[in-house]
Amino acid sequence: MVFSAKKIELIERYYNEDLSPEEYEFFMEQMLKDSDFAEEVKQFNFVFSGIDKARANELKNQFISYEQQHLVEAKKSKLVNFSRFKISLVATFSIFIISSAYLFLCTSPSQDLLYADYFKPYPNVIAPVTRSLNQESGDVFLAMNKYDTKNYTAAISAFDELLIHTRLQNEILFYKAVALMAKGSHLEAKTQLELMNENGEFKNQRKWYLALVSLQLDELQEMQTLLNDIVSDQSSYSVYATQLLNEFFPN
Amino acid sequence: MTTKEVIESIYNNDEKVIESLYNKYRSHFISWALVEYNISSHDSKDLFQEVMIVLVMKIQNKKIIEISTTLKTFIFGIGKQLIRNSFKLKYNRESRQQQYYQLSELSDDNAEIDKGYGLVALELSNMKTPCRSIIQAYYLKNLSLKEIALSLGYKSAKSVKVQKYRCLKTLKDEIFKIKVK
Repeated sequence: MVFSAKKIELIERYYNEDLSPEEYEFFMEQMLKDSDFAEEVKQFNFVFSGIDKARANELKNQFISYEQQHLVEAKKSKLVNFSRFKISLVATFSIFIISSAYLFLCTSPSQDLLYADYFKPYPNVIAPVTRSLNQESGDVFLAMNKYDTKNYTAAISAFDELLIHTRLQNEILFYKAVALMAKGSHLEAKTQLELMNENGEFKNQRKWYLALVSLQLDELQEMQTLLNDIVSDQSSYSVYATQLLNEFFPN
Repeated sequence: MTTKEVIESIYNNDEKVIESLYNKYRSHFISWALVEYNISSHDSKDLFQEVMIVLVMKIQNKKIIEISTTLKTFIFGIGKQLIRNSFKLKYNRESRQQQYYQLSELSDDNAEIDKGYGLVALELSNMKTPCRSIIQAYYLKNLSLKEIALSLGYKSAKSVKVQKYRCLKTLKDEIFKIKVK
């Protein structure tokens, strides 16, 4: 078959669904009229789909290499934590022998303890004190009442129902996340916080609780970025953020 | 970086931008898929990679030139679509029936795509320069004709374009020589 760059360009644009309606009509007419052309189109489509698959495979390999980096970083982080743990164990033991007075001065920060130090369920600042006659306020009151009485499982179900129709999306997502954190479901809590509008209500609280979730999920790099943001935002959490940064990343 | 700049960078195959985008949304996406759809962390990593492949290829094939929402919403939207498609395939009775009746046809199509990829990959690796370099640079590395002209010493983008089509024809002829055999 004779080589024509224009023809192959047209076939490629047909494959990419890039033809104008007129060009498409002309193209289809040619396919019907000329069986050799139709066969050539079929063959080029085969080649182009093979090239697309090759490109997708190349991207997949690129992404797999990113995943491997994640794995290495996760291992490193675990190793660092493990080494910290070993060092602290040896240090604690030695110091215990020398003098029990130095015991607490020499232990390194444990993530669980730090988390427990900093995590407090955020107070209810959205629900009315008494039940309102308005349906939505009434539902918010009932949900927040469960939250206030630390009945977090029931509160989470109530928040889920509220989220279907409430205008207070950010607020309810936030309290649902805090309730999940209080129950120890940190991964789910993180998703709720991420679903919040980052510039909406409770934006500063969102960052702080997201940093605490990252601490608990061992995502230290993410935590550090969030804490740095909080410090530069100069929100009311910046003091805690600075403290946590100093405890985790001295200097 | 604005969404427009990110799209431009992806179009230009800026691997640093693609990597930072991947890392930016990866963990959000994995936890979202786990919580919202009960997809395991391993499967959601795969799913996220599929999402990123769709995003990158659609941008690089100029099927997406602008995005009216945020990138995060867009990426999660592709994810939702992929999840719905796979759920439809799994749970929709009609689709199950169709699948049953079209099983042989479908597997023929998939086999054809896999075979196509295998043959193209084989023939590409057997191609001589400059064809191999041009096709790989244009289709796999998404370099522009102008960039290829500069790096391979062609007079103009137009001469690379004509050469690229010659190479495609050679590639196609070689593949179909094998297929006929």
